[in-house]
Amino acid sequence: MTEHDHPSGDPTRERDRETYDEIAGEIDRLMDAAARLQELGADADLPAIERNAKRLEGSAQTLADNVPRELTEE
Amino acid sequence: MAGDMWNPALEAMPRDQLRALQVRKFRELLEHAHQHSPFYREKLDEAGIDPSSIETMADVRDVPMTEKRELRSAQQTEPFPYGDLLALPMSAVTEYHQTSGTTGQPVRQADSWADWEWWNDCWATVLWAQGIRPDDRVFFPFSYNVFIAFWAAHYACERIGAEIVPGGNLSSAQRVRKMDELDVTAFTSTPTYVLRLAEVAREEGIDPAEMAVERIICAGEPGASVEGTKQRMESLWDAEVFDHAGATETGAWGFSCRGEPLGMHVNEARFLVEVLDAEGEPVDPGETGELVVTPLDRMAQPYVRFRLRDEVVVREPDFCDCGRTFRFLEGGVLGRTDELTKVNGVLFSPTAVEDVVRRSERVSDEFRVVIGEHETKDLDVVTVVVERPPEGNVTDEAIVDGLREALKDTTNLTCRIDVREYGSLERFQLKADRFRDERQ
Repeated sequence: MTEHDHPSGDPTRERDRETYDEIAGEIDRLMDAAARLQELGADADLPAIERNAKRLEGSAQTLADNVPRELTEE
Repeated sequence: MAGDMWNPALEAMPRDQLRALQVRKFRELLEHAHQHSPFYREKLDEAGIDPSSIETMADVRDVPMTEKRELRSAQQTEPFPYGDLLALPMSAVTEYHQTSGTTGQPVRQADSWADWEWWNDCWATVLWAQGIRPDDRVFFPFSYNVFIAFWAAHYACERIGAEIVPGGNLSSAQRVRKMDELDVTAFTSTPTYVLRLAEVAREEGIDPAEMAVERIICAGEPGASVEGTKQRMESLWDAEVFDHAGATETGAWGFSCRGEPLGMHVNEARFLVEVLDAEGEPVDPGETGELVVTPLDRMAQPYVRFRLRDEVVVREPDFCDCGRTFRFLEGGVLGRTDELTKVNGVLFSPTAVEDVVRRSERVSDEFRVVIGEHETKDLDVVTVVVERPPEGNVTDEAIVDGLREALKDTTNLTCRIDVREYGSLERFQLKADRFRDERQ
């Protein structure tokens, strides 16, 4: 496998629930961190933190949309 | 004025901390460039520089400067198309751009995703300082292509949360109508095109001063820091006009703020900016020197002490009352060192002519400067070509007398004035080329 080969090249490969759970958990932490960074940035009058965290929230949402709850819930 | 700072922690950082940050980042950049770029490895080894030994600004000044001509030859090597300048694997490059080619063969520029984030954050610093906020609607009258121009400003607006209206691939008339239709509150442009759009608006029956535009962000040319041009733009659009300085090689390193003096701050948290005399020593505040810029956070294709060939006057941070601890360039970029020339023994800058022409209400916005030889071959002659205004009944004699006197005061030269019909000189959309030296 070269560095450019993506795992999606093997769609039959099995991914277990635990993997999805772990990914979803990390995304949740990222979302929480983005929300908290927005608060901290706004309170400290640091637009560079507040606005960039807002953007991070958007990126985290894209991650979340790629692991919908159907993959992580029974 | 902390509310005007994108990151007050950096923009108002005490000078000693700022200096320590610059030297530390310079050392890290140099280590990276030495390790990963064959061009810099050879250059630094040849000069006997050990990157890890950089500890003071004096050490920084021992490092050889980078010239534009070196970049072109370094890009003739593999890997195509960046050659020996590349300092990250090709697979890490996400953005291709190139210089405008104004001064020769374009230089190709590689950026990684992290570099691109850096570019955009630097531009966010510029735009926030100039009052762009999430509720702004910003128009980009810019033909999006390989030239980097306003790409990063576009993404900086996105970062701030402002609404972007991309105005590429439209005629000037279509752009003006779209700006009017959407009540855009700001736009970005070269000063040349700011004036051109005002001209087109009037041709379309729209008074630019009546439009919703409150702020204009200029780049690419020094006009927004040239008093006459700035006043003309502000008056035509009834808007605040701001300056920004950057280059494909260096990124967005300078910006005007909402403080009083005319000129620009240097973003010293992201760039190491030196203003040097002919011997390569730093000039004192108030003196003119040449700008040498090192972007401190750009890794795919780094530049170490890049000679921009721009002339500036540097001032201490408190020259401006905005509260930033970044040094200030009075009057912005005064001109390019390769445009400064001697005319009859007198140092002459085309920017001085721009200021005089743009202050005059008797001529249009467009002009040209041609330096040639006098018929007798023993003197140089500066000819300033101007246009009559679109309306009004001022005589050519009045135009010539007024300009000749003002130019004499400013340049110490007696210039010839060539008055032509309104609209007879070509208009530009990006950087204008108004200066020609025809001497042998």
